[in-house]
Amino acid sequence: MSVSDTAARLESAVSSVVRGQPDVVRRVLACMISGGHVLLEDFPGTGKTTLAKAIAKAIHGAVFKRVQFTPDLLPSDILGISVLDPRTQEFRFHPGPVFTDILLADEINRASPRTQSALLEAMGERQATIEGSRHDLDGLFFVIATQNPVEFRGTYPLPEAQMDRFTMQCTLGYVSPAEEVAILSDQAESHPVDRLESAASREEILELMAAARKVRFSEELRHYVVALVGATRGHPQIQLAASPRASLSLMKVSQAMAVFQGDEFVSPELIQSVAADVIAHRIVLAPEAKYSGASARRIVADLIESIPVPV
Amino acid sequence: MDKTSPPPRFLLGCSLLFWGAMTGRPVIGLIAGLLVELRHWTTLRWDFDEDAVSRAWQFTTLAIALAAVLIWLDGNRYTALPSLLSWMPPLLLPMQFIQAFGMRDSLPLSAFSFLARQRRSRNQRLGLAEDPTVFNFGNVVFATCMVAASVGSRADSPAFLPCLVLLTGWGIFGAGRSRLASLIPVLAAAGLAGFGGKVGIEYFEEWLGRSAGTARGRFDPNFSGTLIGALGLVRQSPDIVWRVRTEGNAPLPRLLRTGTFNTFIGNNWQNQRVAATDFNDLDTRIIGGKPYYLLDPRNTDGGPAATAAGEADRLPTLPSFWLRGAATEESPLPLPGDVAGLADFELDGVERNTFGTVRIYPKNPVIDGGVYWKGGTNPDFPPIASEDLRLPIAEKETIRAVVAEIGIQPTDSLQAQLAALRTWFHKEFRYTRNLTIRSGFDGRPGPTAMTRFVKETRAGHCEYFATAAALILRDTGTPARYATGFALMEKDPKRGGWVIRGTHGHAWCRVWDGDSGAWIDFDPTPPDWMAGATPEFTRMQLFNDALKRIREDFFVWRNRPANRLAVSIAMSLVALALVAFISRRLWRSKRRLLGPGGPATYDGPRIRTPLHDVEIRARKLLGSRAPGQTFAGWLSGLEEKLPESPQLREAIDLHQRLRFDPAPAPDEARQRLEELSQDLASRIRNS
Repeated sequence: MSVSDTAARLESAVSSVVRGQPDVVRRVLACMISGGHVLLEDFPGTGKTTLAKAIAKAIHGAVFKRVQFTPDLLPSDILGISVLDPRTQEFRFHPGPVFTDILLADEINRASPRTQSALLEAMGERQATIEGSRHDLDGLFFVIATQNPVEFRGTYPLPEAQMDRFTMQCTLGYVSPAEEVAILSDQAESHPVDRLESAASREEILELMAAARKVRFSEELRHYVVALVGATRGHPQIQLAASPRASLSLMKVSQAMAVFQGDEFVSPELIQSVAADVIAHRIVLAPEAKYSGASARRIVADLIESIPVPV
Repeated sequence: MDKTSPPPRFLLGCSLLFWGAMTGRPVIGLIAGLLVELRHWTTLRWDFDEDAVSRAWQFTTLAIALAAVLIWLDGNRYTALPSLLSWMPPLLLPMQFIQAFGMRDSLPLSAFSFLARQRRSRNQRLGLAEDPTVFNFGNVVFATCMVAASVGSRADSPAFLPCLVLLTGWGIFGAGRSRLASLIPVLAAAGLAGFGGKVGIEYFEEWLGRSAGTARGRFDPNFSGTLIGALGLVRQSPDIVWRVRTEGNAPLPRLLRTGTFNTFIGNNWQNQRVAATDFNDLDTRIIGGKPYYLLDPRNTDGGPAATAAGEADRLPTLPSFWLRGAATEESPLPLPGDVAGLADFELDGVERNTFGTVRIYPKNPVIDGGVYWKGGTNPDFPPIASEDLRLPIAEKETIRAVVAEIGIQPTDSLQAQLAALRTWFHKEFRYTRNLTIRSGFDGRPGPTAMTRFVKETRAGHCEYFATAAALILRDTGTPARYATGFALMEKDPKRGGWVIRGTHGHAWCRVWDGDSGAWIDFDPTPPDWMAGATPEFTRMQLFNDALKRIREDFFVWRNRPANRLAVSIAMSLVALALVAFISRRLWRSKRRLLGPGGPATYDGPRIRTPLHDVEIRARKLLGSRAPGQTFAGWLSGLEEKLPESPQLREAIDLHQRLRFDPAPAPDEARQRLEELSQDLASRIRNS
């Protein structure tokens, strides 16, 4: 069975639960396939958790864990802890929720920066250092973090440097009234997540990841990616520009998108379709731009419009 | 229109060119247009912050103020406002430079307005959210160009209106949103507004000129409208028109003439003999190394026999005075009746007619020079018997009766006649500026205004007196003419010298003295008229006088050859220093836009597919492609335009594959795309 079939099955399975958001579903899946992590920023009740659960359920054999971030959450609550076993008089390591395939970090901005950085190190390095010893994380380690844009009290906004660790930031947004009615009908008896059959095995996902890395990417488009990301540097409205990590992520996510589209190579349309999600959350606006109502997504959209694309 | 979106590409350049063409400054317009549009060809940019914008705005304001002063100094103050308006586009260029070569697409209002700055600082203090007003300055420059073009000197050319409508349409259409059909009423409105604005501005200028009395109403040497037969108060401008000064206690003339007329028709004085009213250039003669203009008609070709040619040489010894004032082309020069010569005026030309009216073509808006007089000569030619003795039929009877009443005889000496006339006028008449005689304008039979003046009311202003005296003298057989000009009556005690105001305007007679063979001035108006001629000095008037004095004196000082060089050197040095200072600072803070030419440019091979050839054709249906729009995405728009094209999708997919897949594609793919592209091209052509 080919990888594009696997991708299509996975996508339709998740979309059957998360109604009316085919674009976001594909991009989040592409983010997973590219080996990255996604930050979902949206209002409560728009389906962030459902999306994470659906992805976990659609993958046969994938372990799904969820951490609700609170101000008193400690790094050990995420990474794990060694406890003295009174029978053997030895320390036994109890792995934390980070040792999983899919981790939902709910309301990540509610935890203290210390806890946040513990998770972020794990995300960046795919390893956790606990009490001096290194523990490698699983090959499929996908973090879906959520944060709520309307609450500010008692939150610790993610530091700019750590935003960079997220490959993408997506928003779900509200669905159309027709879709919302469909959601109501779906959930009349039981939640569709509970009914969801797994669509792909964990091994197939790893195959998809390998396939994504093999998607061909022309030299010219690499230059385009660099031009797009580089344009944020020296931009008058931007104080902190996007890093080379952004270029790398943009390339990888584009490749993963090609897998879902059934292509063996990346076209410029794919790059443009994910550029705002990959770049916007990494840049910090200059104060005067922020006060004059500019937004990072808008600036990236303008850059996409103005930078000549290879034709 | 979005406030921050700039005008369409090249619109500003074309507008500045249009402005240059309409105001007669095509080179400035071209340079300004090129400077503004240069941004499209260079990546040179500056990161101007709000302080820089603010400084540029202050600089612009200063430049506008300076230009206003210069324009006021240089010309008539009643045309200064339109003139300043017509210079606005180049004055706004520094701001447009900031806009065009800055890295932002709009300028904040707070850089311009003190109030906006106040509001912002208050909001910051109170921690309120701020939504600052921003706008693109290009739109301001565009609007200014249109307004300035409409006050230009060439705005009456037939190209004005079409160009205005075209540019406005381009501006609106370029802003997007509008379809061609909905544009038509807007364009019609713009055309009407442009036309109306132009006409309105012309009327406004004319009104300004008329209310000022002199500015635009050109002096006509052959027609002098009078207020005879009109009702109301005589109103004249109290502004200073000329200044006169002398060395020591040299004598001064009492009357300075600007025009002479010999035919009284319909309550106005005019000259009808064309040959006699022709103007001829004055002769010049160098005496003692200095050129003099000679006014003695005996030195003129076609004048009376040149018997006294040697007389001219004693010109420098004659009494003289200095005359200073503002003048334009064909301004008449106020001169005494027995003026002999002029010197030191900077003129392109000076001419006079046989009535002795002298008019000039000045080099500068303010002239200054010496007038030599009392040479025993007149600039006037001897009388023309048929004209200078003629009485209007309507007045004949009245004048006869009056002559009988005064009791002067044609046999009396001229001096005796004038004395009798003067006594009669002074005794029996009253001077008033409040006119109460109305002429029968509807053709009713009845006494004329002159008849009512000499028989009934016996009260009037100088024009009545001068006209009556001229007609009475003609009846006794003495050639007489009507002269207009100024009476010298106001001494300037602080500065010395004399001033002539509009209210000193006067009318009197020129009478031919057959014995001496010369014209003499005869002023029949009772001397008490002078009491009302000098206005009460309000503060405003004193201020106006001082301004006028400063302006004229500065002008004369600047135009002296020695000073002119110094002034131009000093001005050039200041300008050079300023330009050097600004250029240096600009050069040090320059930036380059990243992008084409920047470090991320791909200069490897670019693959071309057969589908690329379809682009030019597809533009007809899809419009041109934005730089950031992908070719495939753009071309997909054809799906709507050409519904029957199943191969479009296949062609695009093949194109993407040939173009962006680094793996080598089979030759068949290229051939297939070739076929599909040709098919597509023909479909577009047939659509």
